[in-house]
Amino acid sequence: MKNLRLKIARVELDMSQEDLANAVGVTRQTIGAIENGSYNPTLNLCIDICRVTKKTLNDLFWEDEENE
Amino acid sequence: MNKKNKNFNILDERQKQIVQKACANGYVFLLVYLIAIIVYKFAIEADPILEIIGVLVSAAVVVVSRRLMGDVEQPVDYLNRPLPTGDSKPEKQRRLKNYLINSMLFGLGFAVMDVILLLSAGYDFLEHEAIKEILPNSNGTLVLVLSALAVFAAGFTVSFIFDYLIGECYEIKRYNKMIAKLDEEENKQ
Repeated sequence: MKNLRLKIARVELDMSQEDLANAVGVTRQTIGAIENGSYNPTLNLCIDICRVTKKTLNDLFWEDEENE
Repeated sequence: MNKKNKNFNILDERQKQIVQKACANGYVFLLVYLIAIIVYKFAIEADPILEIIGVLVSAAVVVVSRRLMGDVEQPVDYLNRPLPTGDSKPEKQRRLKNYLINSMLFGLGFAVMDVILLLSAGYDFLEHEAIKEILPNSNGTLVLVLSALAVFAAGFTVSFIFDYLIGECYEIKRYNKMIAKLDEEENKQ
């Protein structure tokens, strides 16, 4: 499932995939894979992404009926 | 550039997962290739000892690597159901029953392989000096049955001793030690 919330959070900060990738120490391809739902990141990477985007894990990664 | 960027040229977690899966695929391919060579060499009556050593050593490397990385598995039976790990008599009996069944399956597998190998040789084994000496004037079926029984008994015995010793003297103790450590850490918190 695509993670549009991550994409929106990133765009809100005016960050490209490359910027976010550099900030959390992964490749751009990994950020792209998380956004399009083809990679399930580790909890550590989720936390790093949340720190950079100033969001909570719930905001970006929790899946419930409201967010689906 | 923040601290994480210093490691940017190193594989990230997704790439590491991909490399690990690719290595596992490579290992499975190598294993199948070696087994195919072993079967081929048996068929042409060549010596496949190097290939057999390769298969055994590679399997041992996998097992030892997992141990070194601290992986402890829950003991399971032949149907992948968890086995009891306590010291009570019923729990030990349940494990003993599992070792017996495992060893029977192992022996049976070897016996079937033995029959297949003998049959693939087209009853040439009847001309073997040792067969002529031990079972003079015997027919092929008798030799096949006796050979399969002998291989089954040997496979069963070796597997049972190995399973029992490794299971009771090492695996169960190791698992219980890990559980005790987790309990201790949990109680500290």
